[in-house]
Amino acid sequence: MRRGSGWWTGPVVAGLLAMLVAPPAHAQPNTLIIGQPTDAESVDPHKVTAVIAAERLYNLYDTLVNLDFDLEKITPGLAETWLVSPDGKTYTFALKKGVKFHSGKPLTAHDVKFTLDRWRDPATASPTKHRIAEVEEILAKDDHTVVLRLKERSNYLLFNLASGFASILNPEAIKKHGANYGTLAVDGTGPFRFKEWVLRDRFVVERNPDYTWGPPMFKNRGPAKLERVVWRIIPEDTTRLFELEKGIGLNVSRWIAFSELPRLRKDPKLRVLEYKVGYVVYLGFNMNKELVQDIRIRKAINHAIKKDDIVNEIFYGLGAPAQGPLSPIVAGQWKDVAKAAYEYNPAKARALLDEAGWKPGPDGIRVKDGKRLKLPVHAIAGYGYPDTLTLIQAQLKDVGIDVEQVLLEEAAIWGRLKAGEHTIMAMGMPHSNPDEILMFYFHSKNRPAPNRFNFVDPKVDQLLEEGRTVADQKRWQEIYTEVQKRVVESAVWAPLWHPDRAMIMSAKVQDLRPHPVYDVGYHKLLDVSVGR
Amino acid sequence: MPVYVARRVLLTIPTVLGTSILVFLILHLAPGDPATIVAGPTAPPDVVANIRTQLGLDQPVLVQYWRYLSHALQGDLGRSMLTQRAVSEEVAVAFLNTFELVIAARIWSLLVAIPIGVVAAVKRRSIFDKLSMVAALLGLSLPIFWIGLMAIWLFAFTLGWLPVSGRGGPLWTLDGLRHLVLPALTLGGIQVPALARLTRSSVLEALSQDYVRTARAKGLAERLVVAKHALGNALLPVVTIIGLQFAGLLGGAVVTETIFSWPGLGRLAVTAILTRDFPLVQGTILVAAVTFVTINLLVDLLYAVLDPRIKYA
Repeated sequence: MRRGSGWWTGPVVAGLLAMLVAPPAHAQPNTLIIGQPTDAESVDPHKVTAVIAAERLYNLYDTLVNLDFDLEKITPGLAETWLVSPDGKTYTFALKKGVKFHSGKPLTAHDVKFTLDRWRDPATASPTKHRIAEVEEILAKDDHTVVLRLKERSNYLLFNLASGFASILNPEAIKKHGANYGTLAVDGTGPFRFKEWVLRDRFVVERNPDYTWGPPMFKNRGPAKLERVVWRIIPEDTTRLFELEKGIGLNVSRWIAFSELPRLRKDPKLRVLEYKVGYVVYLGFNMNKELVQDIRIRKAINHAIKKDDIVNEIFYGLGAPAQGPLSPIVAGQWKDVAKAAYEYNPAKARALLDEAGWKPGPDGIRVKDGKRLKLPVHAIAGYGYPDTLTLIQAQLKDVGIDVEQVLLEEAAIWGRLKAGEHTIMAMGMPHSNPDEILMFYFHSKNRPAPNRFNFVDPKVDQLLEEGRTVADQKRWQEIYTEVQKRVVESAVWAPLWHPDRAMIMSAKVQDLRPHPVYDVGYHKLLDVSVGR
Repeated sequence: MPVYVARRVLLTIPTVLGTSILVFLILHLAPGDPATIVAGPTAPPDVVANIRTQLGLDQPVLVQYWRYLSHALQGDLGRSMLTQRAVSEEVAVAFLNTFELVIAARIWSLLVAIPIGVVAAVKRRSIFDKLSMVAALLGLSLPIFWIGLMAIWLFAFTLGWLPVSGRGGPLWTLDGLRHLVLPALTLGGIQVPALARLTRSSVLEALSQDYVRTARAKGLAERLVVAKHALGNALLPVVTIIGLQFAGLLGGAVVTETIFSWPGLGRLAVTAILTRDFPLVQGTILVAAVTFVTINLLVDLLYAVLDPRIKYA
């Protein structure tokens, strides 16, 4: 036994010594390490839609204009100034001088034209090309002047040009790298340069030392204070939490379980920043399904759901109950929406169901003509939907409605919804302006998807079209107020809640201000620094 | 022997081809449309249709399979629908990461399990035997994600010796090695109990054989009896299990890779399946199938080396 027992001590002791002697795996100084569960597919702005891709785009590239933190004010970007013709159909952008791509090539108006043409070219098959659909022609008047001619006036062109998907590209880099552009090579004008991408492990960018053209919405116009930024992909929630709490592999994440927040808020080594984003989670009724065609059933469901419980019990108070389709932080939201909304009132819900002829059966579930009131709800099996549906199931059972949960993985759900097999669906949608969500969901031309409710109201159609082009600000607000009123009154949705976000960071991280646009959180990280 | 090897190698062709057909069909039968996923939920229908055409998904399934196969035979596995990266590159990188992990796990699990098994057999009914077999039973019943999280909690979170997760640098750097330790420890750890128990029972059986008694009667030292006579014969079933366990290691790697954010083949396959990235799923399954078939062949060949009575014609 004496001989046998010694075999392991040598290698184990040597191994342990090596680990202890080795330097700790701390990151290099002034590096921001962001933790998230999945990786982006690409950083070619015309190939992606994901939030996690968009936040990288803002740091690698610049856009012609920017949307301020208030989601209203348009501020300069690569365009120093811009002029809009009286009819609102011609935009003339004067580009900043001295802007260079990471490769050293100076930015010209021709690059802007190339980028926007590539974005709307059907051959590019950009999933976001509808954001520039109103543009008819793009002209590079001289090296520093770009002219955009529109088919009709647009209230949203500048919003769309401020999105990360409108990032300006270097045509030479696109030609040179072909299909590898956006994964193996990137050339932007942004505050950070592409350094390394180990797929599903880390995405690394380093400071662009020449950057001095940052937008005025940041205190520091450039170069960035951070040496580098690393996006680390950590799929497992607990692992991500460990690294952030210990401060060993991460110093900021937006992807931490809500249940941990009360504890993390008390940790002096961490800072929890809660902030609002334009987002709504809702139940949507498919008007093609007979069961929910009766408005009394839809209203009853609206009255029977206690939204405060969803926010407080499932999401630890990180958000607010929703009354209408628009987030209160988005311009155009109808401030008096509560007047038309449905308050929590189970008695009223029961009365509405009684009136509709649905009487309680032996097990409490309502019955009409021998048919039980059983309603399937489709949702993604994740992001808190299963818990939300379980709560709603209990609340609706209380008034005699049997909810059947149809939980599907993300890859499968869109096709099923498009086929229209849902009676009710639970879903969420980010938005920065009213058109982005109301036109998308409630215009009849968008049936069967994304208007998956098959909602038809000719008046709403007409108002939405007018909202895109109307010049008068007062009329603009009237239009969207009317649309929201009609949507709420039709009870085509049961709006559930507006989630807030929490960004959890090491106390050493300074001046990181989350941006609510497109739910990205990390816009240009110009002001941010990480202390030792 | 060469004839046997050639036949076995030829037999891998229908196996791999069958796997690829099966995977292709399952993928196309499963609900979920890659074009919708590439386009994102907010894209209008014309954009989705455009992307579908670009990806060739508007063609009949047979045409799609034939196109895939003819390209694959020329070494071109296509490009990932989502990342646009060459599948061969993505799979190669992920495969190497998993390979490093699985080999490291294999080596340390063998280094621990076989000595434990042998000592437990030789010192049968001793305290060591009883303790190690109870520990093995306990180890067999623990789920891998729990072991992984406990390892992180102890070695990274509490003691701070090792990084929590991630790939770190390349394997030959200290950073790369440090990142490899915990996932390899976890993945190998779950293989130790079964291997140790099997080694113990195999050695016990060998020790009761006549040739061992003869060896002892010759006056050979007990150490030599065990090492030369018993162990060599006891290893045959152990080698079989080692081969079979490789499949388990590849499967267990999915969980280990997720806990430790290790960018390997298991995670690649899961991501590809969840996003219905057809070419990427095909590529990962192809590599996994070829690996498994190859390991099984190697194990079969190893029999002949370990036991001269086994001959392949």
